[in-house]
Amino acid sequence: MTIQLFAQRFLFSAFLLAFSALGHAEGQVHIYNWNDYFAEDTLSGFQARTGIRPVLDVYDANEILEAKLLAGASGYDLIFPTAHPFASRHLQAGLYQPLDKTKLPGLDKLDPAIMTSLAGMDPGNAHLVPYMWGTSGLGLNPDKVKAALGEDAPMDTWALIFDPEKAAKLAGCGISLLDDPTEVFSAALAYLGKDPNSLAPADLDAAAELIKAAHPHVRYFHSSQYISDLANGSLCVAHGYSGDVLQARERADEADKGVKVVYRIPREGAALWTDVMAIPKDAPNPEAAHALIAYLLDPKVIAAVSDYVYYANPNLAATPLIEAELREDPEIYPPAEVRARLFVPSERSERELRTLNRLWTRLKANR
Amino acid sequence: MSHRHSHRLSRLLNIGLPYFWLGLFFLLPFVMVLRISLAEPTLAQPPYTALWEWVEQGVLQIRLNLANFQLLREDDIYLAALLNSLWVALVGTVCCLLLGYPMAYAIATAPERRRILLLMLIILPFWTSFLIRVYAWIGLLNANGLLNTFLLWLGVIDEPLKILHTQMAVYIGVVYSYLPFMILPLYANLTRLDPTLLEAAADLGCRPFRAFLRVTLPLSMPGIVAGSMLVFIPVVGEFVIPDLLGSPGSLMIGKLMWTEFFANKDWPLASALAIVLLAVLVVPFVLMQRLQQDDEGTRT
Amino acid sequence: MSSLPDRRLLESWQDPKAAPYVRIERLTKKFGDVYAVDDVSLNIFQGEFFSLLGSSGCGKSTLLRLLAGLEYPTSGRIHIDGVDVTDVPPYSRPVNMMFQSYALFPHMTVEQNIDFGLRQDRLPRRERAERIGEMLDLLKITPLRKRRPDQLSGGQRQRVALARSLAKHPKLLLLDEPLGALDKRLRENTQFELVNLQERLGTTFVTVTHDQEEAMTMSSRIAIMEAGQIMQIDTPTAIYEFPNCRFVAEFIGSVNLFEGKIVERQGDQVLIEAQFGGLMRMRSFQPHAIGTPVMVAIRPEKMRLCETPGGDGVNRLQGIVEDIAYLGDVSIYRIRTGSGLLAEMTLTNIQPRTEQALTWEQEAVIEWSPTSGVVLTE
Repeated sequence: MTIQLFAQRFLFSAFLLAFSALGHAEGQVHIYNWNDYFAEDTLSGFQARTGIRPVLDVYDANEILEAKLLAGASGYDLIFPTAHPFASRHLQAGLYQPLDKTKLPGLDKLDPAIMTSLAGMDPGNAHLVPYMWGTSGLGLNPDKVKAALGEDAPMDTWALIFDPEKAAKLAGCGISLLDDPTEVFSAALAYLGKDPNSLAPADLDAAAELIKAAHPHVRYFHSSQYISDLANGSLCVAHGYSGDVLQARERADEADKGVKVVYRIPREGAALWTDVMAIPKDAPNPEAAHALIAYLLDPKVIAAVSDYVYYANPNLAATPLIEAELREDPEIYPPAEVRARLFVPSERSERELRTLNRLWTRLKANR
Repeated sequence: MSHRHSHRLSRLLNIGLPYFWLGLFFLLPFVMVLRISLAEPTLAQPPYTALWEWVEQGVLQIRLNLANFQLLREDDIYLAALLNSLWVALVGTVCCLLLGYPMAYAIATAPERRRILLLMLIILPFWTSFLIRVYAWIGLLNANGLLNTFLLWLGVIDEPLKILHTQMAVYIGVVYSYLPFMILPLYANLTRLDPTLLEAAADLGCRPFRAFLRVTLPLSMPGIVAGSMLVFIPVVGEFVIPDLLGSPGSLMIGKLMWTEFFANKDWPLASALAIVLLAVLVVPFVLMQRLQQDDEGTRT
Repeated sequence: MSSLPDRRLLESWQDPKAAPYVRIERLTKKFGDVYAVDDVSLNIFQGEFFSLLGSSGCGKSTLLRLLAGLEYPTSGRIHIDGVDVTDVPPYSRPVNMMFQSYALFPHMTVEQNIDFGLRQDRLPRRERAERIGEMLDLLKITPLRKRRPDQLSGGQRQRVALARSLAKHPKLLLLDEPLGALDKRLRENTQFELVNLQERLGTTFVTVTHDQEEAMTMSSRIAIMEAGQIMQIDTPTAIYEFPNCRFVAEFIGSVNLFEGKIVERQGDQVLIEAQFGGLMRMRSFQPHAIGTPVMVAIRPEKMRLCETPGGDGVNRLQGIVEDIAYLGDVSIYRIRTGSGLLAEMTLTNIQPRTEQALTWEQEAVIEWSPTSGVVLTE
């Protein structure tokens, strides 16, 4: 008897749960974003303004987002993939729905240069709205680099990693590389003075040789571990994303243990990446997703996000609202001559990408 | 009559339920993975091709792609990763056994009241997320982490030991994380051991250590096997520990699978890898069972 | 003390020149505040079949474990074959034990179990094989030698356990409830086998049992234990016929106890004024003072129906048959006296039941002879 009763209650509550889960079509928007990629009050502000309840899940790798999208029925209304190569791939696979631009009045304030670049993969900017952009360069501990290489050592160069002589001296204080073959190969190609997007076998071989030579001096390949290690002083050179390195700087300042962290865009050139917003084709509540994009196009809102995450945003109307310290930092809002040295990763076919990834596994394993 | 009927029903349930469970949670997923492993990757949702389709009326076309298994055979990196994973799992299991056996033995022979406390201490770490516990080891093993700071302070070492991002750190992480899986079955086994057997051994002239070797150890074999399986099998596929603590060159099958599945979006190859791993782990199981059956056979 | 006077040969325990094989001196074992064994002194001689008899918790098993070395005493000494073994660990004692649960090694065959102790002695392989064969033969378990304990019946296991404990040819074998796990029928057969075996091997056996019948059948001597102390040590006959105290008298078999007071001594007999009213005349070698309160213990089968009433009325009771228990070979009669005392009398059923003289509610007079019981003071 009691077991039956229990089973009934259990079923009943399961039904309740199921219904409440279905209820999201009404006034909820399910967001899948990088962790720590909104300002603290961004979402509460959105709910206050629109009455729509935001539900946030976070990820720390594009691959995780991609796997969920590809499996289908992810249940998310708005996602934040990196444009190259992820969003472009998703567009090819037809995973996104076109935007209703009548609901997005703030679009015209976005940086035309970035929009044009995105239009290359998304004709007419029909699906993607840029959210933040940044570079992948070098996170450095200047004191330790100087201690290893001398007072007047240049900081803004990939040579710190790819010049075996320098790397050997820096290995002791710690070098880390992003665990991402596209990033590392284009950095190596840039250092060699080649086209960072080159697919020519000779170029790739040269880059691979360079990476192999650097390998013994690399402590690890990881795409987020370096943040805390830069901040606590156990790394001196980290190949990393601009905002992440600046976050490490912030943490080091807070800890106040005398660890200094700087971000440098290498003079040989660095990758420029853009994270975009997109609505999955099977989004349960595209209406609410549009409302959230419109909210994030508000210059005040997006300026606050930049202040929090240390990334530049493409909203020109927002630039004056950003804290001066950030706005005037040449590593975040680089001047024109530096921007000219940035490159956007080009498209690669699936086959090329897999070959590259498998080559990468082999390189990392030193085989 | 109705009594007999309900008896038969309950017997059917007793036998049927485990099979139903296995079918639902093992066989079905396995068939799904097998299916994907025979497909080709494609940029779509889901990212693999269908195995069969109706091309025209009455014609069913089935395409089985064996290229994935072929690639696994041809590219030696997969074999290397598999062997390395098996080796890491073996070393980890042996370390867990060497460390866990004395602990399980100590708990099993402790006074009843203290046993519960000791068991609690073994289980307690499970109340924290596995990921956080592995992360904590980064803080402990770092060049300026707790361990090095302490050793430097003691003056035992002059410069920090490089443990983090080495194979050593992987073993530490594996032993730390999986030790309870070794201890618990061993403990369960050792507490059931009849203490008068040891008295009998002593009475027959056997010194305590020899009694341990000749009585306790062979009788705890089922516990050793169960514990070793519980450690060995998950460690072979372990991803988190080598990823967070291991050296950049550490080649583990779990990491490779991650790359194939997430970075390469090559679900078929990742599935093929999973199938091969399963086969590698199932074969020794089956062999062991055979041996046991043979053993039974010779006895009766 | 109370021993049969008409024995021709002196048994080893009666011979003042014989050296005891096991000498236990003032042995005490405390578990916490509980005295499991309380100041026990005891001598056991070569070739004896010695039983420790008592109810559960009386300390008999602890005493056996102390002999085996599985427990160490709180105080007192144990000597075996003239050597003080009090602090010697079990694996170095010249003693083997058969455990109540048999404690056979479940992962070993019968053969390997028997071999276990031999291997510890580093005996050569040939000798071990011979010894195993001898044990298998001795206990008639040769066909079972390749089996494991879980493939044996209870009786077979008992034999294997016995074989294992005898394999090393110990001078002293300790047996903890050796027949306790067997069913009644098997137990009776095995009792005799065990005695035969002991006589054949000449090994000194010390067994622990709670079953008085078992102890009576098998033992050369019995020690009755209670609350950690030994109440009486004697041959089965002496224990039965001449209990030295009320506890032993009541523990073994059934007994009638009549309280009274010594009024007169007449040679080796005393005259006792019984509480139930009459007079009792009993043989007693003890120097009781006149006026000592005593108890007269008489076994029911020592009672008889009085066929010639009258006389001096000594050692006689009159009452009504209240209860008859017919057991086939004998019947037990319960007779209630006028003073309310209940006496028990066992009569052999010589005649078929229907022709017996005594029936319910019948008036009966029963009597006993002065040598048929003992006079107890405690």
